[in-house]
Amino acid sequence: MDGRTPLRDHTVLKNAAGDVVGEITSGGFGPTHNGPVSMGYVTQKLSTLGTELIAEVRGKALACTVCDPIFVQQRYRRSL
Amino acid sequence: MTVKYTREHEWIRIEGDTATVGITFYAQEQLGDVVFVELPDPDTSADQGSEVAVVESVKAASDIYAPVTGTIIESNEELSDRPELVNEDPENDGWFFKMQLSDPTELDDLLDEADYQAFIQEEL
Repeated sequence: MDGRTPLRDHTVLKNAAGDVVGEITSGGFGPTHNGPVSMGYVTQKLSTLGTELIAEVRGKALACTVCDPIFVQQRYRRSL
Repeated sequence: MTVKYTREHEWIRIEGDTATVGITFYAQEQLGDVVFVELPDPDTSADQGSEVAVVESVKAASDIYAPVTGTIIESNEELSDRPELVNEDPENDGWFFKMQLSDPTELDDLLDEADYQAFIQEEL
């Protein structure tokens, strides 16, 4: 998402037209990503990766994007 | 120059009728790493005790209240890019905003440093 505002639980998600389409269930700051990351529900047709949504935080509309839930690729190898 | 404190763990440095406001060392320690600060716009008026800013740490979001009534005259823009200043130097470079005081008598209700230290000892 743009900016650094963490989207916390119960943040309302809207589509470009301003209709409510979902809600954040959990979110915070991702140190590896060095920015906010969140999880939430949106209506199915808006769940395609790359869909741009609006999150409303304290009266401000913030742009965010639906992304793959694997926020950071695993780069270490498990040895047995 | 006088420094006062609130029970909400803010410090207020008073120079003439201007007050610089931030959060205390104890507050930043309790919050953990600060990742975002939402600051008030200049030229907005604020009543004592009203929510004017938000500080987000890795743990949670906390409201910052106006310690006195007045007008916001400046916000610390540096915090938009470097919110970690609140952890590194909470009582200097990590200031949040400056206010023009409307009623200096409100300062009498705030804590001085000794009162504040005693207050946080009680909380521990």
